[in-house]
Amino acid sequence: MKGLDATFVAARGDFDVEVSLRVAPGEVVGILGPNGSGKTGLVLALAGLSPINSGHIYSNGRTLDHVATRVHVAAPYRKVGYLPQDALLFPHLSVVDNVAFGLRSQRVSATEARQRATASIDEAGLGALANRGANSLSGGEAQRVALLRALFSDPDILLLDEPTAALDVQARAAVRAELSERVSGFPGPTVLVTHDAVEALTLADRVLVLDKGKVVQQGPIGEVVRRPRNSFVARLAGLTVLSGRADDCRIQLDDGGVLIVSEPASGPVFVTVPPRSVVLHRKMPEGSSRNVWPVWISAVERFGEAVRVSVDGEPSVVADITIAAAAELGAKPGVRLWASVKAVELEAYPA
Amino acid sequence: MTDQAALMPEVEPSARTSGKGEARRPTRHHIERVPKVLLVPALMTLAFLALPVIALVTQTSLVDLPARVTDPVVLEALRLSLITSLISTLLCAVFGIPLAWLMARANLPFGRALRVLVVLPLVLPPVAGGLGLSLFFGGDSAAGRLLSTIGVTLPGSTAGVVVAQTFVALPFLVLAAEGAIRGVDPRLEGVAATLGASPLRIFRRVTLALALPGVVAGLVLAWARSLGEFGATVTFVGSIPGRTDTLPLALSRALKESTSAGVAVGVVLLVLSASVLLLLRDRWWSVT
Repeated sequence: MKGLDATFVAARGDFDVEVSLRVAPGEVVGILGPNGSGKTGLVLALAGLSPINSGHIYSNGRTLDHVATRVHVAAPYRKVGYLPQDALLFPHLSVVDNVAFGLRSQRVSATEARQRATASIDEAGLGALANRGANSLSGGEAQRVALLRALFSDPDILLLDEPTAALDVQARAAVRAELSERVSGFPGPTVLVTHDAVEALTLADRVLVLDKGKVVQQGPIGEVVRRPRNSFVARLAGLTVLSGRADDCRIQLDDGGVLIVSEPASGPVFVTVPPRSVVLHRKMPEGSSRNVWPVWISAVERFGEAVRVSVDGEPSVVADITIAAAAELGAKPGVRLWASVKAVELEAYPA
Repeated sequence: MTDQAALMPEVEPSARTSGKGEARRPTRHHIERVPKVLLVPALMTLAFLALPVIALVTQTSLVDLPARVTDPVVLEALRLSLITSLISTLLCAVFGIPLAWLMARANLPFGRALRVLVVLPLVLPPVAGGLGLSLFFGGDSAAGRLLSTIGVTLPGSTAGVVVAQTFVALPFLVLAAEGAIRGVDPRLEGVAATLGASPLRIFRRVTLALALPGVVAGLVLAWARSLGEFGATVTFVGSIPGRTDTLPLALSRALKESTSAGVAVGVVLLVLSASVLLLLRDRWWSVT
């Protein structure tokens, strides 16, 4: 089959990475997950840089790994384009020689490889950098050159490992624009590892959420962030997600507390609490909200134009309130308040 | 700079001192803070190191120095020293660098024991090393008989001198090269692999290329050790003028004749050693 078809288990020190992944030609699949969830381990296994313990990896109709029949194609022969987080340009080589490295490895003559690399660098608008030493580039420049280098040897698969995570905000925007253009022009399957929701949103067609090496959720990014199944994705989406057991409209939460929702459900569920729907009060409110409970503030931070207040209680949630409201409440860690949220603001879905 | 430092921590000390490093050098007007208790032994050490070398130079009678230095025996020893030490340095490179790579990169079983084995010739008295070589490569040994079937007899031959020098010099190269290779980010090798580079190409174009300053320093050290080698050579191959008498051996022989004859050879050795130091200037002369 065309594209990437990988189902494997790979050891990663303290736990196993266990994934099943199919990526069609031209498709971009985002791998989302917190640090230490096994994302990089997954990429290294696909690249052939670390072994898999069982399963298979097929690419473009080729068998790259098949543990049962002891097939393993070594990294140099997998035709995989790999863009690591911190570019990893060869520091002793110029930009041209970095880009030409792949062609030189295929026994193309030095002159021809450099000529073609230079043309490609010019085309990418990086001509001014061509003869600079790789270790004289800024982070953003280095990452753009590294992307060019990865694509220049005409790979079957493109692996992007947190390509903008190490960059400052400005460089990130530039690299992301370049990535977007390059990735959409890439005919093969692309695997994008990230812990940045915006990056996943702008680049990936669908995402797969990894936690402790296991796939906990997958689907279109919109669906995944609307109905998160782990706290990492919920935080990404700016939601609080709680697990519990539903009995009609009443949900007994696993970590204590009860929430009332508007749509009846039953059995184990997740409930999302949008931070904008949480209202904080100095005194116990007498209103229409059916969910009212005492809390105390654990953290206060600026969040865009609003203030994000994390409160502990049963349940612990996050509330986004205006600066004026925060001032009026005297919001600082330790302050005791009441929280309320309307049942219609909550969404419960089967766990 | 920061990138480079992170990627190659021990590989490029010279990069720090060249050019812009100047501004970062610590200022030196804090001498009043040095405790006097330290100053005395420090100056004594300096004198202890310098005076014998100075004596070597001042004791030389400038009048007969040219004649002594151009004495055929001295010239022959110099020629032999240069040839054997350069060959043994080359052998160190050819055989030592692969071992350094293995120790730095392959997850070898008994890694610690292996390291002891490699360092041993470094701390072993050279005479004991030479004895070991005699026992292993000597005429009566299995290795000696094997070599004699292809017409090679190491004891008493120039080839034996090269073997003795290589034996004592290898640890210097292996340890320096291993450290330099360890300093190369292995992830760079991974990236090179995804770009289609074969293991050998990765080794040459990435690992060795990045470790080169450290490897070269190791080679210069190995060369210096070869040049100065005496004990293992004397024990293993003996002292034969024109065949095995390198400069240190010639010096020892000359001293049996007269001190002034020996001094001439000593001066030649000093000049040679100083030129080795010149080769290492980036590594040892920099302050930072």
